[in-house]
Amino acid sequence: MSADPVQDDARTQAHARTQALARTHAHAHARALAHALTLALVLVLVLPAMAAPPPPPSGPWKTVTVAVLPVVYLGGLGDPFADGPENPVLRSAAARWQRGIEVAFQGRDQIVLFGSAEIRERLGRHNEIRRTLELAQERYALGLEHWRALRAKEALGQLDRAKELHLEAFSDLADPRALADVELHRGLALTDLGQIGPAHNAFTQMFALDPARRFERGYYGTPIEQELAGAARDIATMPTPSAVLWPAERLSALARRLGVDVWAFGLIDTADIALVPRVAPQIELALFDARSNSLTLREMFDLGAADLMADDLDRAISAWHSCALEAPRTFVRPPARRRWYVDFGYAHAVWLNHRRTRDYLQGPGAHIGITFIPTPGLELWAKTSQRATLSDANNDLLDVFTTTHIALGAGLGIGGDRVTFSLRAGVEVAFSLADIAMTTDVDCKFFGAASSRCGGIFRADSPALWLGLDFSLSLRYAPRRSWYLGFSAGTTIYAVSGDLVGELNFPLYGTFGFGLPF
Amino acid sequence: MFGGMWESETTLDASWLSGRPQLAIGHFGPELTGIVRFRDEDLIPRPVCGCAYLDQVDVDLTNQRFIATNELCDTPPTVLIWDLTLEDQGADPRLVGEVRRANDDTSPAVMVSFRLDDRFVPDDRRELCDR
Repeated sequence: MSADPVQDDARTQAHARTQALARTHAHAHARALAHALTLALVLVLVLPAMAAPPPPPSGPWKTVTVAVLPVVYLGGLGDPFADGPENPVLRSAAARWQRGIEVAFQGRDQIVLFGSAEIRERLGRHNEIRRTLELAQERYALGLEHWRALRAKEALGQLDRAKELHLEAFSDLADPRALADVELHRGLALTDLGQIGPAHNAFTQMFALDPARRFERGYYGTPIEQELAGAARDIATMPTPSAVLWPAERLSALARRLGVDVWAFGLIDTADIALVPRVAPQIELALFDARSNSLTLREMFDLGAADLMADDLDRAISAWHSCALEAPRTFVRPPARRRWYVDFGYAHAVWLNHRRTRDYLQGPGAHIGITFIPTPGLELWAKTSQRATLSDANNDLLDVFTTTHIALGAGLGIGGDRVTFSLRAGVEVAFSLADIAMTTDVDCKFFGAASSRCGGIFRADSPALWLGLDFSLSLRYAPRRSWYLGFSAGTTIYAVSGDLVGELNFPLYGTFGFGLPF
Repeated sequence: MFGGMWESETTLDASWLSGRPQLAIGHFGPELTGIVRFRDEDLIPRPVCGCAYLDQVDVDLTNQRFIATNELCDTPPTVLIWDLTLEDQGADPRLVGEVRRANDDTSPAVMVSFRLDDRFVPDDRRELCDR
């Protein structure tokens, strides 16, 4: 203990500060360690999730490409010279539903979506389409010049060509207003030429392409205004305007060009509101499946129920979506069933009945077989073989003789493409063009039949003939579809052959060879 | 095995048989037949016939041996017994053994050795000799 209390106090304070500082450092280290651990944990958990891309749509479903066409409204066609108060409302509703339809498709599994603007952009990627469109515009400009110069006939020629080019470029679907301009001026030129009927048709086409088109009253002459009004009424009173606005064959053609599977289009039809004011305006949503060339969805929604639009569309699109996806079907043409089988190879026979010889007689040879399968399980077959019957070890058969065997019959087969087993029966005829001589007398063999020591020789003069029934088992093994190995074993029971039946009969034979199916 | 034309390698010189006999043998499986031919000057003591069949042939394939009798043309006929074994280890197959007279214990057996002349026996060598 120090004698100086001041120094002791100072020492005590210094010690306390040191301890406090140490505690502070320890706490700081603990906090830093906790932060580091937390950070590491966050990195471990979050980074892989950030690095990994979202999993692509999986499953064995085909992707469906849906293209949404602009929503069209037919309001106010009763009077095409007045832009009624409902038109801005309809325009707004059309835009809202257009967006709603696109949203309803977005995010669904296996759906690739593109809108109307993208249709034009995709078409523009095709050079020939782009070039055709330019030509159409040039023709239209020329037609317009001729018409303004009161050369209606020349104008009509240019406008007709412009129409054809626009149709080639799919303007009726991708840019209908451009084609509507052409139709308008075709109608005007036709009217100038006094062709009222065709002019009416052209105006009708114009309104079909652009139902929202309106005109200033008095701008054209009365006859033209009358035709315009009539054409507008024609469109307004059509029972199924969507079929006219979006012809199926045109949708299919454009779908093939752009790789679109399904077209979605909306039609706001308020044409009969004036006639039946109590009917609420409705929008018709239709989906045209270019794969089946048919409408796969046709739903009507109340236009005014804006708050229900998302739910309505989701319900309808979900129902369609659940049925529209399909597994990729790979149409594998089943391989043609092989009906003909031709094989050839080695044949070997042993005469089981050989009274005139002490040993079995062996007969090596070759065979050719043909099998026809008219229906699975049934086999019609024919075969021929050539076999040489060799002398036995005792030379009891004095000379080799050759036989030709021809057989045909039917069989029952079981098995698959690789292995087929069949049980066969048929008739066989065999003949030999050589004399057959057999004896067990050794003196006959050495000194000849003329020798006085020869006790006797069995002899069948040529031609020898056998006729009998053939029974066999057959096996085809096809390691590949293009060829197979054939095996068979069987016997023949000869019933008709003169003396030979008792002397040589029941040849047990086997074959194996290589075959080709056809 | 035994089939073919066999020529005596040595000239037999016994009191009852001398000369160079020839064998024409047909061998088929377990059976054997053939002819023993004698030249006119061969047969001792007298040339009674030019050839004679091999009869009562007993073949032992395992030991490559056969025993056959041979009846000459004299009266009463002299019967010879041939006991021959095939030796085919060397380049030239040989039939070696003895021949003795049947029912005659006083005459000693004669040792014989035949060399294979040809495996093929021509037809004229199979024909019976003129007795």
